[in-house]
Amino acid sequence: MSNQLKGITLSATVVTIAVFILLNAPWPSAQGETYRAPRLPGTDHPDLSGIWQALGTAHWDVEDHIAQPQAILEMGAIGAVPAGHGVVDGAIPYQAWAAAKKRENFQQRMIVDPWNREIGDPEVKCFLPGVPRATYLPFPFQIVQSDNEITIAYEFSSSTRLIHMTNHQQPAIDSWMGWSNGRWEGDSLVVDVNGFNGRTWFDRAGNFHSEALHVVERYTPTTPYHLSYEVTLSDPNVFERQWTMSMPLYRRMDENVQVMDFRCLEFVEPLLLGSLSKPGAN
Amino acid sequence: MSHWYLACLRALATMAIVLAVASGEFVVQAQTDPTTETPWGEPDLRGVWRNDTETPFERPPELAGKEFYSQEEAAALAAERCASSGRLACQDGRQAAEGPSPETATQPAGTYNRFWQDRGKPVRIVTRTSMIVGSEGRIPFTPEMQQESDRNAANYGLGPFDTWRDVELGERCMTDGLAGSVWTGTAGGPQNISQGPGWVVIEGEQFRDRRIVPTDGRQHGNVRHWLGESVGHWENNTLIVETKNFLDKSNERWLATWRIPTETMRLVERFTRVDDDTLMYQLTIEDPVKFTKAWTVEVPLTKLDQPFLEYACHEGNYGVIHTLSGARSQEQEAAESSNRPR
Amino acid sequence: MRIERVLVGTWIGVLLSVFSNPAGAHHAFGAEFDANKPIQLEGTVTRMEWINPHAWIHLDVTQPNGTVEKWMIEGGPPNSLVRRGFTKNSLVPGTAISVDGYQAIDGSNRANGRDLTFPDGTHLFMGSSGTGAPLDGNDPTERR
Repeated sequence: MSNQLKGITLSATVVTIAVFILLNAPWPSAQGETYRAPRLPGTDHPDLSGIWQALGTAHWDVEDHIAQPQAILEMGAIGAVPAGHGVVDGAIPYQAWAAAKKRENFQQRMIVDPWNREIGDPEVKCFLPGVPRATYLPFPFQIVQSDNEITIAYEFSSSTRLIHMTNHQQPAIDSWMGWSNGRWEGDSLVVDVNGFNGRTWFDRAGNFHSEALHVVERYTPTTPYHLSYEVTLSDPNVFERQWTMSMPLYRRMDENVQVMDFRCLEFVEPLLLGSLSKPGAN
Repeated sequence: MSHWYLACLRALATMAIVLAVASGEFVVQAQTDPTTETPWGEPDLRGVWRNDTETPFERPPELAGKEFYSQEEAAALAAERCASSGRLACQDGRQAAEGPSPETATQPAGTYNRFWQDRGKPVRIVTRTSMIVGSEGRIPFTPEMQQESDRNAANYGLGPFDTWRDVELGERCMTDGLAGSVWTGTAGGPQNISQGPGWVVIEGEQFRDRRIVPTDGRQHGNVRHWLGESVGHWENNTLIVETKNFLDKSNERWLATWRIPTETMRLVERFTRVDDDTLMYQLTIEDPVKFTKAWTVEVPLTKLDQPFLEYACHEGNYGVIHTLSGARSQEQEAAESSNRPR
Repeated sequence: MRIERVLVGTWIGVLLSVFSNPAGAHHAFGAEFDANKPIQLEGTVTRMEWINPHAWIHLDVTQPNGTVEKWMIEGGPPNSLVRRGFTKNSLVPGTAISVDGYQAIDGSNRANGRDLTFPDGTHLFMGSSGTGAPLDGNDPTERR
């Protein structure tokens, strides 16, 4: 091989190796916009599989809130509400009647009445949490991803969402977790959710919606350990305009971490049905 | 001059391929049928699956020892059963006459008629005489558990209903138990199977009995659950799921005694995609507390070309409320009538 | 008598009943409803709750003296209906119906529905001879 050819080959090799390293190393970035997640094997899309969890206090209140006592004083500091910054961009733009309804929800949040299930926080009664509340409850969830469908399995009450990536349909009847149709926009998973029954809340502070709720979620991998979760919400019955919330989701790194079975119905039956039981019976 | 030019191109091409393979962008496709494998090369079990057979769970006593029908016998039986069952459409295309379900003869006030029972697909013909395989085809209960099972069946739906614990677990919207959940449930018990690399999610529609099954080679842990803990692995085209670590819930009321979870119960399930429309399901149950030996159930599940639906049960469960409320009002009536002056 | 099958988009006729079969399914009818308290109601649908484990029809029943009673009638699980093409718009509020059923044990305005009839006489999913419908021999599978 001539010296000239050796030189060209050497240069090409160096350039190739440099390019290889640069394309595969995570780019440090303040916003992680240029992170490129590994692909789901056999597909061109990022692999969002794994067990994830939100941190923070959105499950208590998605808006700014001060530290405050728990509704059940006997619990002392356990379960008291920590202060937190809101995850909402601004404040929730309630219509006037709805702002009053939200305050009423808060006052009645601990009421459990077997004959009137629409009063009180549905989470207290182990009702399905809806979207986006399921995402930021203080429990992990697992994304199991294939090409035509993405399953999100939440620990709370075995809630599950099937995100239909192909063959988008509309729901025949309403549901607690809504109907999810998903698509990719670049490396973001965009999920369009409707068909809600209007029975879920957004948090423990009484923030609510009607069956006209429409949610659009964006899940974007920003590092190997974070998803950026952005949500756009609209409901012409309740809000004056569209609004958004956002937060990071953190990959659970515990060894052999699993989503457990939180079958909370068992824990709420005494609350829900105690008043209908025979006095004195256990 | 052309010689080094071509050599250079070859070198760059080789490096490009090396680069692409190393970065995972270039995937060598296996020589397999793309309709039966996931994109990452596992057997494809994904979809909504349902029991569309009329095969009884246990073998009728008069068929003891006869594990299989002939094809002709099976076809004739399926047609007869379909016509008298809750189905509206039968295998031969004949519309079953509408009217009462067979149970109406003995339970005039309480049967779902075929409107609610129809599963929308013709019954699948199966030559087995029972879902339980083997020469006996019956649950090998210990004598004590056989008595318990008979007692449970005789007392189904009977009170007294002092608290919710006196109501059977399915009526409470809790669960009917993992064993059997794959082929039972409302409207044929649809199951959803989702897959991702290293995981399979199996969920029953009626009670959201859900398993998130790792297939990455991990072992069982030590935390017990109502549905136990499931760990899976692949053997050729079959997914094998082993479940243990059940909580002991034998002090609750159950629909069927054989499904009661105990700390010693172990299940081994096999899921095999046989063709586009069929998932062959086998379950082997072992529990020295309930059974004299391990026993196996086999049933083909049929693919349902319709979505899996949410079944929020306890959210809308007026039934358990009415049951308790009814018991309290009967007690009150009894107390009042005994207090009335004669 | 052959009974016409309900088509998608037409009024639904619901034979609402319960199952007491430990081998397969749920529902202890006798724990909730009283077979000795048959009821017959004429009313207007105000709401259909498409929920599990049982769908519920909310009915406004006008009494002879003009008062309106609110009743809830229990049906079967809606997922079966959805798979057969029904949607939440299939039984529209304002529909007049007649319902035969059995009242709740606790005497409240709730009942397990058995048969549903429309003002034009369309009588869907009638019960067996056990519930008083004529046994005229046209259904070869009808058991006595």
